[in-house]
Amino acid sequence: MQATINPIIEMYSRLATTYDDDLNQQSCWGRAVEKALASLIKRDDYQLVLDVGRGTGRALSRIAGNSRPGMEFIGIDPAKNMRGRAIERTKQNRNIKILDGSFEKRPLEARSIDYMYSIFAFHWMTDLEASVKEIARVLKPAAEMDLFFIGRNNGREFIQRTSPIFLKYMGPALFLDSTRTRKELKKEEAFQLFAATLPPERLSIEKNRTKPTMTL
Amino acid sequence: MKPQLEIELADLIIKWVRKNTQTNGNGQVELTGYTNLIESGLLDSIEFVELIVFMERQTGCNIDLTDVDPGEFTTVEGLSRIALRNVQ
Repeated sequence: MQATINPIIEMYSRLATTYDDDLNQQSCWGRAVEKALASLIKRDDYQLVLDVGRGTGRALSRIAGNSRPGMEFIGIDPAKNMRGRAIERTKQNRNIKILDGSFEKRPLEARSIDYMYSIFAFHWMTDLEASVKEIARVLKPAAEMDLFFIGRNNGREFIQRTSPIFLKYMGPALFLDSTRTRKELKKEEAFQLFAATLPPERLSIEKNRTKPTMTL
Repeated sequence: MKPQLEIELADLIIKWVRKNTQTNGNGQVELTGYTNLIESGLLDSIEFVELIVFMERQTGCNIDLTDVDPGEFTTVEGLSRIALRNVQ
C-alpha cells in the first residue's frame, strides 16, 4: 500500500538545507520564532521536555544547552531532512533524542512528558482531535505546555505583508494548497478543542495582536 | 473587446469581494478590476480559497492554477480570465 504524502512535510523536508540561513532567521517568521522561544519558561524540576515540530533542532539545542544536568529532551518532526539536520546539530548533546513523529502520532510512552512546547507547527496537523488526544496521552497529569500556532482573524496586517511573499515564491497553486492544509482556529474553537480533552481550568489562550498567532 | 462572460464573471467576483470585505473589516478599500486583492488586504489566503470555490461554482469548472502567473492571480480581471480559460 502506498503511503500518503503530505505536501507540507515534503516542502519542509526540501527546505531543510536552507532553513537556518540568515535570510530565513531574520525574516518576520524567524523573529517571531525567536520571540516565542525567549518567552518559554522551563522549570528546573522537569525531567523530560518535548519539542514537537522542532525542524533543524535550533531551538532544542539552545534550550537543552541551558538546562540543568540530567534533564532529558526529545525533538520530533515528520520531515526526514529536518530530522537529519537536527541529529547533526545535536549530536554532541547526549540528553537530546531526535525522533520521527507528528502531533497526531508520537513514539512516546503515556504520561512521560513534564513540559511540551511547539513553535508554529500545530496549525499544520491533519487531525485536530487525534492531535489533542495524543498530547493528553503523553503529558504527565501535572505537565505544562506552550503551543504557538497560527490562529484565525488576528494579525491581518501581518498576513497582508507576508502573503504576497509566499505567493511569489510558492506560486498560486501551492499557495492555496498550503492554505487549505493549514488549520486556522478561532480563539473560541481552540479553547473548545483542547477543553474537550485537557482540564479547562488549566487552559489559557492568548491572541497576538500584530501576528496571526495564538499561545495556548 | 472583452467577452461578455468575462465581464459578467468579473462583476460577480467584485460583488463577492465587496460582500466579504464588509465582514472582514476592509470595506473601505477601493476595489477595481485591477486592484491587487492580497496586497491591498482585501482578502487573506483563506478568503482567497473561498473566492476560488465561489468561482468554480459559478463556472461549473475546476480552476487549474498550475503555471498561473501570481500577478494575474491576484486581480479580479486576471481571475476572470483564468477561470474562463478552464471553461473553454
